[in-house]
Amino acid sequence: MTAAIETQGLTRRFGDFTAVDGVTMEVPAGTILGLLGPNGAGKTTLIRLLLGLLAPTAGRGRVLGYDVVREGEAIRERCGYMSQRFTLYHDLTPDENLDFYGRLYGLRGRALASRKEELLAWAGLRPYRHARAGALGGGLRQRLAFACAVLHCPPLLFLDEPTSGVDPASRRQFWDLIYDLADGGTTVLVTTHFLDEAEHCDLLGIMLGGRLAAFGTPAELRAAYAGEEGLDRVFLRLAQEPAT
Amino acid sequence: MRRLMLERGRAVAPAIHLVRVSKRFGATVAVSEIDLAVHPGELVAAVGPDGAGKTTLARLAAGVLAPSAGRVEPDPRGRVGYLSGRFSLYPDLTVWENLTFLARLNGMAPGAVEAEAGRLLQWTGLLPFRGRLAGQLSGGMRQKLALACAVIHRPPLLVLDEPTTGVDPVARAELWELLRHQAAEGRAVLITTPYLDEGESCHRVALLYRGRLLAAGSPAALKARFPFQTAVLIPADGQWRRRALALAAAHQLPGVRWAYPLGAGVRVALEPGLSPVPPPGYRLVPSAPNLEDVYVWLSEGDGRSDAAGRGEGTSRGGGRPDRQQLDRRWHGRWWHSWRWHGRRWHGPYGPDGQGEVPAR
Repeated sequence: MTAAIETQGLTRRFGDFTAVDGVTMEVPAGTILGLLGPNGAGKTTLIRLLLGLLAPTAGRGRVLGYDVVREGEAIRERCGYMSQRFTLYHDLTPDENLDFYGRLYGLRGRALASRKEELLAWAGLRPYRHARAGALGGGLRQRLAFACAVLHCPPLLFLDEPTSGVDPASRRQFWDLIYDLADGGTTVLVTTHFLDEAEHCDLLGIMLGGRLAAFGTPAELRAAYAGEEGLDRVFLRLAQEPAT
Repeated sequence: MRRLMLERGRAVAPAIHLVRVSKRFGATVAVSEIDLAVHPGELVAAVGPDGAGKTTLARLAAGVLAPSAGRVEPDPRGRVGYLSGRFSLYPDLTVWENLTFLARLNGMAPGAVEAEAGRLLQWTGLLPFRGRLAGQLSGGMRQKLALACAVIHRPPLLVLDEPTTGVDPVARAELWELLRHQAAEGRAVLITTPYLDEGESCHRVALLYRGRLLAAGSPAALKARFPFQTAVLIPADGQWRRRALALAAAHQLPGVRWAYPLGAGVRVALEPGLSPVPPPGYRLVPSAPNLEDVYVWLSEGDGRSDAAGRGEGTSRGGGRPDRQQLDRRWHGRWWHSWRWHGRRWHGPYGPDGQGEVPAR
């Protein structure tokens, strides 16, 4: 199995502040990796390093086989991104939103049309294709944003708190789409504050003070830190340990 | 009609009782006929997604908004501590100034302010930051300060609108500790939150959905109403990469009501009373129902039009299997459908929950 993300001692310092401190990890393709941590723990900096938007102070990393220092452009071309405050054009229909984003990604003509149909069906948006996006419910809008983020079939997908604020039924449905992609080989990196969102991930990385304080499957982390208790206990236990 | 709660043999009147309150904004019904009481010493969470009516409910309970119908009794004004949204502080005042200013606004005697402010800063762990501008606090510290501001005049009722949203898990746990302490001191605490798991640690939970109250009760009582047995189907070899297979296997279990993938396994709800045998190569690990199960069960009886509503389901994907049509006929409504590979439909099916579980 090839690794989608591979880092060794990835470090980034800003002056005498170490934002990311020696992160070493290996994420197989098709994995859903959840990245947890309080604000300021280094999650965003780590993502910017992985995307080649920031140069590491030390260490190295390869994403989708490309070097994060020299081949950032190639990495970014192959990534999809969706944030909690996803950007859709509320005055446009789902159809038009997909058209718009498709053209941004350089899709044209028949290729765009067929990809669009595929995604509308996949995300369950066909009945709403001609409604104004702004008039759709939260769950639907979110799936539309997700469809826009994966238009260009990115092998690596970044999701920032993807399901906060949507109702639980829509949330389960949304995860179904994520699992579908992961089964198809897409690697998904989810950053979240939502500890029960983390339960959905295949692998979890808990970041504290720039370090990757724990890394493993949810079951492994529970076994190592909290017995049968919830992941929130794992998190709190790690956070309360004095930094070494 | 006032709801009463018995405490040591005597009746205790609720600190706040929303009596069938509704609130309309133009054509939008933000809150529809909600009946909810919070008693002294009780910590109640109103939980729901965006658009469920949480903020409107909080504002009604705090007396900053008048209901379109129904009533709120007794009048909360003058005896409520209210924390609205996330930016109720003065960013260009210090921690100390925010606290003492709020106290004076609430009519506290100047002599009492200093002592109480010091005590609260000690309690929230903000004492070392008393001189820092509120605008320069982290999200968690800001919420703790906002909480201190809301309780400094010792109101018998505390209403907090989403104090934990966007706050990191560590700060969130600390904030909850402070809230439990407030309830233990005898205050009635009503909090709104989008996180169902936060409801688990409250005395009672009110599940909100599109302005309606689906159900209210203690977490244990709500979960006890969930009519199915829940379990997780896990591949025996621990190979978490065979999700689609595990899901297909879950749908072969006898009496399966719904199944959805969750991390390494597939969470299933099965008819009660069966002792299902997992298919070869899998383990079936019993797992207690959670509030999310209850919420999905109750909200899906609603014939929703948003996510995977009926209209959408019929046109999504290919033909639906017969079982689903049967279930639909059987229950009048069908739940929710999860699509999986190969244009096949797998759905969690369940009964109509609407009206089956009365509020309280």
